[in-house]
Amino acid sequence: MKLMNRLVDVRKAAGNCIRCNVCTYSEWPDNYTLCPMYSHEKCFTYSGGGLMYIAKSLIDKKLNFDSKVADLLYTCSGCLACDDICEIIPYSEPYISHSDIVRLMRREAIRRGLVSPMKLKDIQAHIRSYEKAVSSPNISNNILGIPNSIYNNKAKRLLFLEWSFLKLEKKIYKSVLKLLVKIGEPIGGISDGGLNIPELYDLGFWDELKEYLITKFDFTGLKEKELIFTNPHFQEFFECKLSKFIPGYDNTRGRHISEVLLEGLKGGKLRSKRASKKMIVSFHDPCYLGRGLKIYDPPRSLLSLIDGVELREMDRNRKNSFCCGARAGNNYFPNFSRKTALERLKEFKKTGADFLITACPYCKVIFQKTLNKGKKDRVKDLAEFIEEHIE
Amino acid sequence: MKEKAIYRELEKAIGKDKVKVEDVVLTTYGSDISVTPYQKPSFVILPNNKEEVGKVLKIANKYRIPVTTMSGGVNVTGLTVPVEHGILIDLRRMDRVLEINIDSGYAVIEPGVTFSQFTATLARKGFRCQVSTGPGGSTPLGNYLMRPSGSLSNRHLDPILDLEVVFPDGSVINTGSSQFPKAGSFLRYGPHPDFTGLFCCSFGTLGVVTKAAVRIYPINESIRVNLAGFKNYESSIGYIKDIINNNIPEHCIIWCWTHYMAYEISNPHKGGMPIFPERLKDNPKTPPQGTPYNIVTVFMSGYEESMITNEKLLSRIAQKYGGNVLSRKEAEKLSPSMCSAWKEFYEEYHQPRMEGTKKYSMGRYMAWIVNAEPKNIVKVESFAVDKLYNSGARPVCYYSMPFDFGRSMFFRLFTYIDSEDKELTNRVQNTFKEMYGIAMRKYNAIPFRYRGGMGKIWLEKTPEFYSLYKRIKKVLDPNNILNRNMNIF
Repeated sequence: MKLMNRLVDVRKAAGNCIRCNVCTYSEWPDNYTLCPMYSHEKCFTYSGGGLMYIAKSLIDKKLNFDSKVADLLYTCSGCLACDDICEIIPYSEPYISHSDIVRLMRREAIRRGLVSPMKLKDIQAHIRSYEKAVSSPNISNNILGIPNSIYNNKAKRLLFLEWSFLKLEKKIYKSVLKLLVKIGEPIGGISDGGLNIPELYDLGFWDELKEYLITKFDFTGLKEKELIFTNPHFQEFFECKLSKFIPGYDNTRGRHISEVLLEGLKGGKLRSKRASKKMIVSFHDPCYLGRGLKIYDPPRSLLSLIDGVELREMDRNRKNSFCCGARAGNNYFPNFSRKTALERLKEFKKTGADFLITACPYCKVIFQKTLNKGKKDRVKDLAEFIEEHIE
Repeated sequence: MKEKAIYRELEKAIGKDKVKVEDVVLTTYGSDISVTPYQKPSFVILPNNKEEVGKVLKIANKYRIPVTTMSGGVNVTGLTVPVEHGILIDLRRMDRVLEINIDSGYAVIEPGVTFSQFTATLARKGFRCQVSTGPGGSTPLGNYLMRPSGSLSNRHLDPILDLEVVFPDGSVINTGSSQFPKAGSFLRYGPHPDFTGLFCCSFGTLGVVTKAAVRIYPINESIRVNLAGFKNYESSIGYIKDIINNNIPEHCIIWCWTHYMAYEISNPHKGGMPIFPERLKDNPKTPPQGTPYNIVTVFMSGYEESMITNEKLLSRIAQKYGGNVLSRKEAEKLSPSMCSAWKEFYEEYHQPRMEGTKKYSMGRYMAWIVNAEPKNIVKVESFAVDKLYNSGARPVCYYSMPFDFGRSMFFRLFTYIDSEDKELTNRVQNTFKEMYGIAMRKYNAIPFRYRGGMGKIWLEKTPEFYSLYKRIKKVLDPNNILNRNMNIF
């Protein structure tokens, strides 16, 4: 799949939307509303289809590309629900998804200087600050903090560290390392070099991203490795999007940490602690792990192998999961990100579960931010939860 | 200046959050997939109830602003494209199933209820409704008001029992038995004139429908979808007439081979077949070896014993018309996607989830639809397929079904055209106009719905009828604010 450069290239796909509203809700018979914007305000404009009509109107110059349009484009949380269910747009030439059409419009918004100056400044500063950063699978010194007992830069497996989010992700990363030590298999490491690659992609900073990937990212020998991800946004980018920027690079072998841990538990390298009491947990399928990578079962299987755990599903689960709202980057609707998280947390509350487990650091952060003080510990990343309940 | 005053009044009447004036919103309501020219409304209104609809209509009436109404907006022929600077009322927020009466067999629904929502709600109660051939996001009310070509139109041509209608002066009426206090919606006709019918096929020009009672049916013990292949359309019609006269099907549909093959589209990026099966470019009159010209799907439900008997009968009757009953395995070999769609449509009583919409990715949907007596519809099929094929449109597909126990036959011919190909789009549009003329003149066919601005042309052919229609319009909508985009008043 090639990277579209111009908005006009997607006119045919966007123009094929028949306003069937299928992009707003899940499959029959559940018909759950899945689009966070549509859930917030039921209006055609605020749906996958509405965004296609915006694209068509921009191309046909029926709509001025102004800051209000840009605001709405950045408010879409990119949850992939419309991509997953629509049978028209991705099947129309040039075979591009809703999300990628939105990203293309964002890219155009950046070109036109319509992104909030503050946001732009932040991101550009961020990019500049990593001008000297280099990411390579062949780092000789262990700068990733992987314990010497398992670190081997020649290992087949590489742990992908999201350096750009490390401050908030540190706890998850520490848990992952402890678990990997228990598994005991040699592992190398690689990082994003400090730049949030999928974020740049999602926000439309494609030119900057391409330059970064070509000049700063060392792909030598990467094809032979298996990359272990804790962040599904990175995994989805490396597995599904990287080839758009680095032609021919279309076979990143990624594995989510939940699959590695499940292997460890099943193989006896990890052992569940004896539980003193029953724990009811609910698993929130992160959009990029579920709809993006189609990984639904491993996290659930993993949780079911922990002694005392009872899994209780929220109404909207698996491919019908509802977004946490973390990636809704703007406020076309006031406090949209928080309101989306609240809607999901309300659903979690209904389950009566003790813990909300997720497997994406962004989900964890937004849920914790949204929950009242004293309740924040009820949200855990899968790796953290597993680490707490492993001998 | 005037727009500001109207905005203030609208905002005061129903609240700011239901009145949209941002360009980004208005633009998305200015067009659909059809060739209807883009027209941007000045206001998009999203009401929650009939009172709010009434308030908006009163303001529109005062300022004589054109109002276009949509229930879900799923329309491929421009029926919900607003008038420039007008008001677009989007009723999607009125989306409640208000009542399901399983004793009498009706449900009361609001306009924003989608087929997916309605069929799922009914299924949970062991009931079903007439399902349209449109996508699941379309609305029963919007579809039923336009006289549907749905899954039960053989027996019950009109699924609507009664209506609640709001007029430009803000007044509200109920038609059918629900006009009697506490009576419910169990009867459409008598003792008064049937005003429900007045609002069917009037395309929103006489009032805004805010509620409807519609027929629902129990899901029976045993369900069958029987498939039979035929070598030509005439045989398919003969077969259908025969089985209807012998009270076998609840409904049946004739599918042209290009149509059932059109379901076999897949995304090359997800693997599988090419996007556009090459053989769909062929002349529909000459199907590939081993492919039936038509497949007739016969839907039956009832007690298991009668199903077994009926299946035997169908096999015998199909042979009488030179056809043969196809096993599910044989049909799946021909078109697995279509079989899955038939299963969902007939056996599960809802619109096909996925395959049903995928074909729209092939381009702009352009359709030509008529009804005629059975003997005439055979002639219509013969000329219409050739005519559209010769216009250069590809693929040329159709399906056809009996209405009202076969008194009339519905025939929908359609194609999917690259939306960027304006020359072909115009050519097909002109071909359709010419075809309507021929079908009406030579084969006594009548057009199914207004499309492409043809309503006025057809009404002018019946001046007495048109005159009465205008007089009724004058009473109900004296300032002609409602659905002016239909261009008939």
